[in-house]
Amino acid sequence: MSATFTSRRGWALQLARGTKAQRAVQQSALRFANQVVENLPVVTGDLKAEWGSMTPRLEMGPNGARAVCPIGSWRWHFIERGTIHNPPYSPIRDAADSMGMEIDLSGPGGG
Amino acid sequence: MGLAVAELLLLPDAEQLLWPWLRAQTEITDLVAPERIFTVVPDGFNFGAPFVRYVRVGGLPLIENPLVAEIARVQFDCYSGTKSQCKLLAETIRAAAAARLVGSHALGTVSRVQYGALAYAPDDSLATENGGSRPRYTFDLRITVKVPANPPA
Repeated sequence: MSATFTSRRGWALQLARGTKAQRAVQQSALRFANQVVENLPVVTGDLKAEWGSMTPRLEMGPNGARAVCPIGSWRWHFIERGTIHNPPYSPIRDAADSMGMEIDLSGPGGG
Repeated sequence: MGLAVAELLLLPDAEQLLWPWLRAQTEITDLVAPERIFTVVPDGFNFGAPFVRYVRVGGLPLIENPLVAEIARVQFDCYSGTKSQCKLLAETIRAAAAARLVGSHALGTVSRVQYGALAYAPDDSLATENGGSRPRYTFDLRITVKVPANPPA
């Protein structure tokens, strides 16, 4: 008996666009968003309320399903990167670390 | 039955490990005075000249048992007079780390250095003479540190 393998072009993209991939991306994004909020420093609770509204939005990108986590806080970079008068709390990087994700924070730091 | 632990080995403090190393790199100290490289802003500090603050912001153990190595994430904030001077300072620190940080140090061994994104992130809490935000470049180093090969008795 012999078997012949014939590769199917675009199979990886089909998988990445499939409903299972969409569900997995959505679940990971939700875990990430929750983890970010968990990592925030708490003084008055204002920050948690502000960042807690971060709801991941599922999109279809060129390489398949992806999630966008918009942070509805104009002061996110103060918290993440700190200033010379405030320590960097890095809730976003910590959340990525805890989930084994690589994150690129090279975007603009302004509000 | 677990192993009997004769002594505790503490992981090296990445900030402390970096302190003498940063000051020993002449390419870095050509750009910023050694005493202006710190982890905590000194009292009465004059923010005028270039300076570098580096702070450990996170990190996880490489392996949990035995706890002898971790990946410490250290954020560097590089301040200078202009955006391009800040960039040069940040790039110089990264290049020095790439060339020379791996190896044995007094407090421990660095076995790997990884680099986070280099970003221009002006500091809104420090104003320039013309009222703008103070230029700053920021980046992370992820440093794999291990207890020294021959820890002090």
